Formats: sequence, structure tokens, C-alpha cells
Amino acid sequence: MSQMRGVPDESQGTTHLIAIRLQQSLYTAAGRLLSQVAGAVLLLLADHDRQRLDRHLPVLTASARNLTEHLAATRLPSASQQLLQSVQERLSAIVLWLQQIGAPDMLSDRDIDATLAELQHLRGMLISAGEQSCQFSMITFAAGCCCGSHEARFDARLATS
Amino acid sequence: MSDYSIWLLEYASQPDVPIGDVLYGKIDQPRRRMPYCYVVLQSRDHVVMVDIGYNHTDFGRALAEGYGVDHWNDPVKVLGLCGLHPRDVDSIFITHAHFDHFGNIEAFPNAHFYIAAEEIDRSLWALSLPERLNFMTMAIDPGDLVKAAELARRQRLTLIEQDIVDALPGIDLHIARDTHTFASIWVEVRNDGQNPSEDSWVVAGDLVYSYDNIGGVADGATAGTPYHPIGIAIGSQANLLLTTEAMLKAVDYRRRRVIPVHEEQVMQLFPSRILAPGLSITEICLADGATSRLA
Repeated sequence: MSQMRGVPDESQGTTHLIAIRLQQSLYTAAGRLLSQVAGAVLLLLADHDRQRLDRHLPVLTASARNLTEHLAATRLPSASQQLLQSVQERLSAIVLWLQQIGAPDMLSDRDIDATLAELQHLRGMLISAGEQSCQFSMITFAAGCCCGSHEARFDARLATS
Repeated sequence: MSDYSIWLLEYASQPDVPIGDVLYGKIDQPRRRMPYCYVVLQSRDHVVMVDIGYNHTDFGRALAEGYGVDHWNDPVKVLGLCGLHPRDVDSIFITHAHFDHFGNIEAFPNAHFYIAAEEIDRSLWALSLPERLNFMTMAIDPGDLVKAAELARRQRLTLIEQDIVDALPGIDLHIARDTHTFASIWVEVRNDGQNPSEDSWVVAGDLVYSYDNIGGVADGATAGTPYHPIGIAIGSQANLLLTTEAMLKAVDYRRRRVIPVHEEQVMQLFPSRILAPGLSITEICLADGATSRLA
């Protein structure tokens, strides 16, 4: 039975699907780590209970490490690999900074502003990477939202790609 | 004597919502249109909002499209319906951290924000869990957390730890833990300034989607049908029901004084002006001396 031109056979399609799902999963992890780090910075700046932030730091460290290991164990298209590697390293640096600082009133304005600018920048990187590399709004998955209609739309795109 | 005018402003809508989302476990009713609204309170001294909607770009747009939300309108246009501009708003109470309530922070440059500390704290915990547990954080936009951190930097964010009486004069904040989200807030407006008040209103956030959740619109503790909790929650249905009882008690069981922000029927029960799909103003009450914005 001949294959229709331009339509991948079943095994190719499955491989493609797995690769895209893997990529999604990594973007999801990066987006969630970004959310965690931003939330931790928020607590640092707004919460009077420093212990609350301190309780999150080991978890944050573990999340950053998980993303590192996940990335190391996965072969992605090089652009995505580099981008996610960069996001992971830069978020890990902020986590380290959060661990090292003492009382919030010892923070310098310059450090805080640089950290907030970095978070905004990383958010922008994830958004544009999601839109460009995956042809659909990958950031939805990064936000942790795998709701039905997106899944359906995603699968429809795969079917027509 | 009323201190605050209250308007319900619709900024978007979701045309086709399964009934099970609105009423827990319900399957035998047709789908509904769900307006997306925020609430404006205006007194002589303050312009206050309860929630701020979302910004239809980036993550916000992706999430909205995922949920089937359409007809989004910019807050400049929406607040214009009651003669205000987003820069006029001085205080914003965020009921919970979902994108359609906590998004678009940047549109309100002069406001001080309030959200429950526990809502942030436990959301961070949930974000650290494996992806298969995403349901707990699926409506959170990472961008909102980044922007909220910037608010904190400018000392424009207060994390509240417990219920607050007179967060602003006559406005109380109540925390409802483990309900729709980890720590949602409902807002009680004691419009005569008295405590207890005979002129209270409650802005329910997503703790109530519809009058059907609170037993209808009839007055009286024994009137109406039993409470029926909303269908989308990460906490407990028992907590939702007990919170409903607390809200109803605050308004002396006058059900129309609980203001749901996703209920189309509000626009029929109060004077309203519907301008376009996803764009309407409903005048809940007017402060002494204030003029109607529906003319």
C-alpha cells in the first residue's frame, strides 16, 4: 500500500509525537521553575515571614537540579537545547542568590532590579521560543496548562504537519 | 447612606461552559454563557477594584484561548463605562491567583494590590510538584508572578495573612482556605460603614459562579434551594459550602447582595447596559450623591 505524499508513516509520526511531547515537557518544567523563582522573589520582597521563603529554597534547588538532569538526559533540537540550558542556568543563578542573601533589608536596589529584569527577560525568551520553535503556544504548557482544547489543537497541528 | 458605588464590569466572556464547571457534578442542564467580570467600588476617597481580569497577550492569551474565552476588552474601554481610567484605581483586591483575576497588573500603574500570602506560598509548593499534578496550578500565568514580584519591589503589594477588617474604610477581606484555590479572598463591603452592617454586599470572586451555587436569589435563610458548590476547585466542597454560608450570613441571607463575577443573571437583576459581547456594565448600587453611569 502506497504512502500518501507528504504524510509521515505511522512510525515516523509516533517518533515525531514523542519528540514534541518531550520538548513540551521540558518547556513546562522551565516555565514552572520560572514561576517558582518569581514567586520566591515575590516572597522575599513582600513577605514579613522570611521562614516561608526559606522553606521553599530546598524545593527550588531540587526543581532546578531536576531540570538540569532532565535536559542532560534528553536530546532536543539544538536551538531548544541551548535556550532551555540558558534559562535553567540563569534561573539556578537566581536560586543561588536567594540562598546566599540574608535579611531583605540588606539587599541592594541594584541586585533586586537586575534580578527582576532577568526574570522578565527569561519570560520573554520562553514565550518567543515557544511560539517560534513549536508553531503553537508552547508557553501554555510551560504555564502548566494542558487543557483539552490545546491538546486537541496541538494534535491537529501534528496531524497536518 | 451608602459610601460606595458598586459596578460589575464585563470584560470578556466564555460562550459555552459545561454545566459541571458551574455546579459540581451536575450534568443534566445545558451549557451556559459565562461572562468574565471585575468589580469597581468608588467612594469619595477611593477607587477600588476587586480583580483585574487578564491581558490578552502572551501567556494570558494562550490560557484564555485554551479555556475558550473570547470578546476580550481592554480595561481602558471597560472602566470607561463608569467614567474611570485604570490609572484612577488606588486599591486592588485580588481574590485569587488565576490568570483571569490576577492578570494585567501593568494596566493599573497607581494601585496598591492585596492578595493572600498563602495563595502565593502554596501555589509555589504546587508548582514544584510533578507535571502530572498540574491541575492545581493550571490557571496560573508565570508572567503574573513576575509582575507581582515587581509590584513587591515598589512596595505596591501587601500579602495578607488573615482576615482584615477595614482594609479600606468599610471594606473587609475574608480568606477562604482550600476552596476554589489554596487561599481565595472574598470581599465584604459594609456600605453604611457600620459593623455589623445592615447594608452589606459581598464580592465573591470565584467562590460562587452562579446564583445557583447559593440557592437562587430569594431572601431568607430558609428560602431557596440548598447550596451547591462550584465545579472547579482544588480545595474541598465542604469548605466551599461553609464559605457560602459565611458570605450569606454577612448579607443577612439577602442573596442578591452576593455578587458573582461569572453570572449572566446579575445583568437582569440589576440595572445594566450591554454594549457588545463581552462588554457590559451593571450598576449594583450608588453611593450617596453619585450619579448613574447607565444614562
